[in-house]
Amino acid sequence: MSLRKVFRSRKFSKSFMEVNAAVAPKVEGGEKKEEAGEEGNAWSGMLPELLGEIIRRVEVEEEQWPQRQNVVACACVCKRWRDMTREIVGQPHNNGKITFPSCLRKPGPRELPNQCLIKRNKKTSTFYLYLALTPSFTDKGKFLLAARRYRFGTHTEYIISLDAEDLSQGSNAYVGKLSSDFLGTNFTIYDSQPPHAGAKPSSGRSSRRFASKQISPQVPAGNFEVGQVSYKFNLLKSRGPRRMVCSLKCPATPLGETSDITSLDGNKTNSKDQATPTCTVLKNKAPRWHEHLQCWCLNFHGRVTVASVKNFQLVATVDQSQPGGKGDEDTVLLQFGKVGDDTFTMDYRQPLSAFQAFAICLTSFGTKLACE
Amino acid sequence: MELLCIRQWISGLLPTVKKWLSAWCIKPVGGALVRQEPEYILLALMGSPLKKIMLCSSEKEIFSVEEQVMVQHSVIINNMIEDGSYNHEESKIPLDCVDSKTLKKVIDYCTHHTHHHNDNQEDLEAWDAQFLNVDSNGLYDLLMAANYLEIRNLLDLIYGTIKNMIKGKKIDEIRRIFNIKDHGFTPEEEEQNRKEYPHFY
Repeated sequence: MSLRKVFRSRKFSKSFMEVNAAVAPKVEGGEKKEEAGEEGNAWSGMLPELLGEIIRRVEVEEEQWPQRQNVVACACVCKRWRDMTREIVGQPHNNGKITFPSCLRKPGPRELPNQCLIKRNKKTSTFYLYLALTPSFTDKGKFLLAARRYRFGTHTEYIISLDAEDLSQGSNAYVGKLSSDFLGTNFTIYDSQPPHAGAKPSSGRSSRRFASKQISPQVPAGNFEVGQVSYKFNLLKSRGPRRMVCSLKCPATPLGETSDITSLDGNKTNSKDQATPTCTVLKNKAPRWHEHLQCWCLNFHGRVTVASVKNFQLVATVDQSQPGGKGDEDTVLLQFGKVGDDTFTMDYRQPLSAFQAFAICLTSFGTKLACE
Repeated sequence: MELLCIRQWISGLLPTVKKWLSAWCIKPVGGALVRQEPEYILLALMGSPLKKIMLCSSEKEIFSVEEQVMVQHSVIINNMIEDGSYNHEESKIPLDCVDSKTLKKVIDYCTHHTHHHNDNQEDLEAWDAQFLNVDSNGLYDLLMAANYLEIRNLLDLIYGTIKNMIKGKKIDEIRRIFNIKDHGFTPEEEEQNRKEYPHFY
């Protein structure tokens, strides 16, 4: 075999000089770069394997915020870098990591929960969710979501948004809302995006208009019901622990596969989601009565330091990510509790997403008539 | 086989001869003057010339390199020599997508790392940093050449450098450094990006 043939049979990419001179060398089995003549397309249009290696190395080093912004930066440099970054972020070993806003709707990590903080501003009835970057309860961390409570005559609503300043349903940053009944014991969680293909928006009490500045206008605007939370009546026991049940429409967390990639702005629908929605049912872990201390106790492993009726731990009774759909009642999937006057911790893991976890925790605030 | 025996014999003699050889061990290799390890000088003195191979750049310039330097670093060239498709008397290896300037640099890298592999880590890293002190065009060409020739440690080095060029930079700066003029987003997408991450631009 001639030497020339040995080398020509390999896949290779044009050198920078040749790309700019718009001369196409003979390429066998390699990618042909159509954008010849465009300056600077070498770095934006390089072989996917090489670009993938570069972005993978950035991603692996920047697991934590604020350095993870370097991964987000890669996704904004140009279209090809964005596609590659999303592919790398979407890989199974990255499940649960928070990179883009769209990650807030994706299931949390499988093994160790994501530790978050919720800060309450009583004056403005606003709640802020942060991803904890240090174990300290006083450091805020990376801002994720904000929610504001609006009281109406017969019900209360919490509007959840990506923008801490703009908490209206009409904004681009609107993520979803939580709606409660008069007694404050039954809540419905709504998402601004359909949880699965073919989902129909709920006919809300009030028709709200959404900003028309969506990248994918074919996404139906509206609120989609994605979960329910209810607190049980506690007629006999006063001051006893609450009992709560949540049912959530979760996209099934495939045991090996990655879920599909959503766009950076989080507006594109995921057309490869299964047609039939799956359901996760959670209930709170019952605390034990501590005879000596004369109080109800739950082991929060140091993440909750102030006793409060709001504190809870949720375990799954029905969990589609487990074989057979049966939930593991020993694993705490969501833990919420007070650590300061207006500071709470929230730890969540798969199959819950940050958005769902935040919405469930919000239900714990506010008085519940006939419940305590 | 013969070479191996000679090397072993030399290793035994080494402590004695190293002293008087080290004073004048200078030999041109690959276009640069490089300090040679005593073993190689002794080999040359004894009449076993180091095998050379010819590499031909896209501009048809021929570079003569020690075979074992390239074989040590480039998987592609190593495979070629091993499977016997390279004939030392007549052949030259055509590298149609590596230009002369880049090929010379690649050869420099391989040669330095072969002859200085016993240097301490700091010196090697300093040399590498100086070696990659090139503009983004040059870096791109080196990346392509290292990928083509499958030179693992050079590839890792270049990836590391590029990664450091990206980290901590704003997006507009990254585009400038890598000369990316057309980002490929629609005006609406670009506006949305800037709204969503104002501090990153």
